[in-house]
Amino acid sequence: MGEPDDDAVLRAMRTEAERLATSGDALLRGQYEYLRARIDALIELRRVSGAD
Amino acid sequence: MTKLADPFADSPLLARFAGLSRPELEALQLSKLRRQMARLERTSAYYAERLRQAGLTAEGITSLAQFAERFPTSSKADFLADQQAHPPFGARLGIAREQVALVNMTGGTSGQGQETYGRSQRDVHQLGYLHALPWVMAGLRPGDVAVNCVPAGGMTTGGWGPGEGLRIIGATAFHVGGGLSTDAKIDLMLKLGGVNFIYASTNYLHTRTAALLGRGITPREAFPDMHGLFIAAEGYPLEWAGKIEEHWGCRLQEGYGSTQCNGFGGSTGSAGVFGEGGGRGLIRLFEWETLFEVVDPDTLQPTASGEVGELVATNLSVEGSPVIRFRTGDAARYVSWKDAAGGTCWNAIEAGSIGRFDDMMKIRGNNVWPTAVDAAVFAHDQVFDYAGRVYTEGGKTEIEVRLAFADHCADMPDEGRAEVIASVREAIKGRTNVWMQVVECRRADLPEFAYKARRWKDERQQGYRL
Repeated sequence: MGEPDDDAVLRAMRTEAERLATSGDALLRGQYEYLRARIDALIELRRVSGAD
Repeated sequence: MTKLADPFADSPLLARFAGLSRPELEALQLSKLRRQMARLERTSAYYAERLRQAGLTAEGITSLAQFAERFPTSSKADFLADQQAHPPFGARLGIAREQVALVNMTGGTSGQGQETYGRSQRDVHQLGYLHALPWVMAGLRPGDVAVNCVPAGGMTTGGWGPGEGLRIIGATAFHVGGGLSTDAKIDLMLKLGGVNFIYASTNYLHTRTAALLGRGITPREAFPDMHGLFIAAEGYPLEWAGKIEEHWGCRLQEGYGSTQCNGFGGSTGSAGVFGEGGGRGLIRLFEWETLFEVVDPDTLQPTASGEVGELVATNLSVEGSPVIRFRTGDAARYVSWKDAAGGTCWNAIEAGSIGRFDDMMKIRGNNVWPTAVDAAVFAHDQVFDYAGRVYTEGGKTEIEVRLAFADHCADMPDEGRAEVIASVREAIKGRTNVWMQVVECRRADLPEFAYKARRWKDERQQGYRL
């Protein structure tokens, strides 16, 4: 039951991180993009199906 | 000279820190300190014992002044003894050992031993942030091409922080330190098609600049897109800083950082290393991350604004191996926020003159700091570099300064060389009150340093033989 929930949590986090990454703050923008990229990597490495 | 982006306009977060009043900043520090000490009271036997010695609990900390008055300082010797008793991190570790994500050690240049620091995942992010912060203030922006000349990786904080910082800014980083010769680094930079930012030790920026000029390359022409040179680790004379800015056509910036600060504790920011009126500029301290005290090293009483004291550091949020009231041994001229023009409530230290109390040499009754000799020697642009030696001969203390001339002086006649040597000797006497023997040597006879220079050898004890 844990894994599908993890995927949903990561997708929700991705949406939030995407929103943060549009920040106009020069000090934070790179850090938010870094956070989004980490979540992207986790989503991708958990993919076990060819379906989108 | 390229105008720098205003960091406070470009970062609303930074603008909020800059906009705090002094009471607001100190309230933030006290809140973070209480939280830090409450955590360490539970997780670190070393700091729990020090709280007990102070007769304090985390909840009982009522003010920053009370904490400074009662909580005992720690020194490098304390940390080394702690590590020996509880290897590898000591009982000061504030997290479970399996939560250590990165291990850093101090450089070992003091000769006393290396402190070991365990970093949590959170600390590693902060390590990057505390490099990104001064560099964003110095004008570095996402997509800029940055050349990091400090050797990357390994065990030191300086080996890991720049990589993390440049990554989270989103700069395109070339980590050229360590593995390449100076000429190979120059060749690589010339091929990059535009470089915007260099991070190097003071000593290495000097070496790089001298090597470029020696090859007949004018840095500002070869790298017209350069908008920031950021140095750390060593002092310098203002004459040298002025020439560096002239050769490169951009601002020189400086940061104060250390393993104990988990990165930079302050920086000159967009103002650069010159203050108003052309004097030394100020390094503004990032006091919401590190609580700094500047104290008299003998009495531990606070130093007055304008005076030189020892920096004592307290990490307000580091989890792994935090330092709490750690005596850094770093000697800096303290400038209170009230005296530091610039509009923020951040305390400051003078740029370009940070030295070490434990580097001080007692020579013929005088306190001589290597940085004072550096300032005298490098005020002469005819000098490439030097090495100093203190030794005993016939029961007398002798001091020898061997200097090599810069490449652009290759054709200088002997008379001119003698004049420069005499001028250097006078300048050293003026800054240290000690006459030293100054002689010329070949450039190849001097050691080359990729990071912190260790120009002085004290061989006096070897002279005491029966």
